[in-house]
Amino acid sequence: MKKRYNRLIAVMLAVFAIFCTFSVCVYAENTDTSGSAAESPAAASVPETEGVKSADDLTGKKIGVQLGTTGAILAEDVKDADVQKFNKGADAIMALNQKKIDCVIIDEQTAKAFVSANKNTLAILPDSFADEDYAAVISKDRSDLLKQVNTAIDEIKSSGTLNKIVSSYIPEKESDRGNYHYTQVVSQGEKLIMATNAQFPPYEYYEGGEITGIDVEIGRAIADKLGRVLVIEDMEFDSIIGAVKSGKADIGIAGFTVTEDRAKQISFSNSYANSKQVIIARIKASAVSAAESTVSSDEEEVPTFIDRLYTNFVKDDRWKYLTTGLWNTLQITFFAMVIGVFLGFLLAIIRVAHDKNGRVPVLNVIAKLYITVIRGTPAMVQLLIIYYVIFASVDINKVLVAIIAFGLNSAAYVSEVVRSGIMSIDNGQFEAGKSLGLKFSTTMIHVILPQAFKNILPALGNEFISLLKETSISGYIGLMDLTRGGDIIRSVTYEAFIPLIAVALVYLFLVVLLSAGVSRLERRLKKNER
Amino acid sequence: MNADNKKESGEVLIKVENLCKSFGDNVVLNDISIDIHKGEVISVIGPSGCGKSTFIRSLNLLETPTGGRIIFDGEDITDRGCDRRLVREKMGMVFQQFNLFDNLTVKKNIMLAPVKLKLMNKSEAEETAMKLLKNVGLEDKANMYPSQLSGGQKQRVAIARSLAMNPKVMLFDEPTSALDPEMVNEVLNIMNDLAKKGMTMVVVTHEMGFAKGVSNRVIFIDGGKIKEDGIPEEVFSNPNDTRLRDFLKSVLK
Repeated sequence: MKKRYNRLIAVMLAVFAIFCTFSVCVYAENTDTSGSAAESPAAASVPETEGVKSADDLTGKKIGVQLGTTGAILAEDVKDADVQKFNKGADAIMALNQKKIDCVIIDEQTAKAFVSANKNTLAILPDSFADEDYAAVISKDRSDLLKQVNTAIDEIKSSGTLNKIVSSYIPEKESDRGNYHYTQVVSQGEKLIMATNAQFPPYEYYEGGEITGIDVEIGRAIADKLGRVLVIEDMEFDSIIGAVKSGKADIGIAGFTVTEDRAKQISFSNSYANSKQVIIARIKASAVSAAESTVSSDEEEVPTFIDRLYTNFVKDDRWKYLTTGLWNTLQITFFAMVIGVFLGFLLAIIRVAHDKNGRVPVLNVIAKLYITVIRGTPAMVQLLIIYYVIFASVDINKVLVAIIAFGLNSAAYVSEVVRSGIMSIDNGQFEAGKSLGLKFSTTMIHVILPQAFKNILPALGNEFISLLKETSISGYIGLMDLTRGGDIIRSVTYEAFIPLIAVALVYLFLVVLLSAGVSRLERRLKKNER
Repeated sequence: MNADNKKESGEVLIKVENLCKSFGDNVVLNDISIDIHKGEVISVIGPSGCGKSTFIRSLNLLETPTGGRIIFDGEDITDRGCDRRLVREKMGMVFQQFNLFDNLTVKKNIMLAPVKLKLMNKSEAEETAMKLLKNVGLEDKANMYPSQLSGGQKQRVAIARSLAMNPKVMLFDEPTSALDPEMVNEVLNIMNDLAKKGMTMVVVTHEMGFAKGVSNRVIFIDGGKIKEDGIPEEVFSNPNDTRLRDFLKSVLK
């Protein structure tokens, strides 16, 4: 027993060591290229960029955008451009830094936040790409709510509250930052569910485990005017309009630009802010070194690996994104497994009862259809359908939705595994049961399944491992699972490496644990027979 | 044992009328009729592929007949309304490949059906199992798994398992064909004991010694038909059918 654990630990350590070595290499590389150019007097003017130098320069370039944003819509009109759509703005920035794309088109305020985190490598081009108005989105079926929200926005504007909120996040002088925060007055009563995508500073983003930002505070102010309590639902940006249309959320506030296409789907409120779509491009290497030479070496310290660990996990209790996410991932996986095994066995037995005895023909057709449909469509699509279509108008816990979706999905795969296990049992076992006058179900439960279960355990373990990893798409319904927890850290620290590796290690650890459990069970069952 | 032992054809236990069975176009049993009386020990012999296994498997409806009737204990078991499970409870079956439940101990193999069919409670079933195991000389193997037994031991357990249901007839489908030669006798001895106790038995076998010595009636099936039916002395010493003569010549060599 001890020996086995030792081996397990050894494997984990080896893996960790490999990752650490790898991380040091990457780290070293990063420090090489990032240099130490700080804000020098010269940085006030935009340094020379490579690839894209102005808005007229976009033709035929690789443009990164965030899926569903105005930038994404407008970039499509650029001639011959290769528009690459990322789920998160931070991913696009990452791709730009890694020279996978030539520029990123994104909202101005978000761009500023990104560039200030990457000031040595990225710059915003002086000419903007497009101007835009931000407005809230509301379902076309709810004109009364739209009216109320419009009135609320007008009041917030005229009372000066709106201005105070915006200038606290986008201050003229840096000293004014954070000097005003709107807190909700109404604390009881009907909920106003606001859908947003907290990856979009300064409009909405995570800070200290809470979603905050201009849109959030405006949402609170609107909720107060409506006498309702604001509840924030974080989801993918391209899911928000769907959520509002289906009634999952009352209002969407997420820096939505008023566009014609969107207006066909949804009603826009009066606009509450203006922004620009700007272009972020890489600073030319020569420009960086030029800047470097003018800067004394003690200007800014390069963050050490420990610093980076601190920023990613310790600061603002960011590790909590991972632990909360892990807890959700574990819950989803465990209960989905239970549903999958239960339903999977049931489906398999129906199919075997039909194939062996010609019984339950109708159930068999249903089971076959179920397996075909579930195996024939991606789990992510199923998850989205269950959340946005089947439970569209039900206020339901997202973890429960994910459990149902993954459970139903897993059942189809488990059933085929179980069926193959049952079919591998010698027909003589069935006949012996029959010849003794036993019911098919009795033979199944007491004779066939115990033998089949032992045979399929490795395949079943495989399915559990896939299931565990597949739950990483839960973020698509705005559920904070382990992967999503890592994504949130990425979106606030603008760093890919450490959060992604941390998330990967946790998954790896879970899978190693799970397979150890399965092989232990395997050995125990084997012992029983000898 | 000899022909004198043959029970006076008293009560008919199984009446087979014009039994037919075909798999697609392949006719395996062609119009078989036979009365099986209580206490009879019938050996079914014939060349391989003649349909003797299908015949015995039809008796407890492991194969569904495509024609004819089987009356068991006064009931037409080929009737649609008949509960096959109740029929099989009363007909024990022993297979060539033993078919012990591999996941259960010897004792539990025997106990499973009586307990699950609520014929006995657990302790009664356990008592019965131990008694039957004693009869087949395998008391000490009660808590072992089938994989730990030899072929002969497995078949003895299989016989005990069938007997636990207190059947009215025992069907043996080539019970010794899968055994190593030195184990054949331990199984035949058990069957011999069973015959002495008056159990009605139908035995598909290649053991001509058993057919001659233990059974009191021999039927020869060829081409899906019963070609000979009589006491062992007649069938073996004075075969009418030329195919039977050829068959006997080849197996008795």
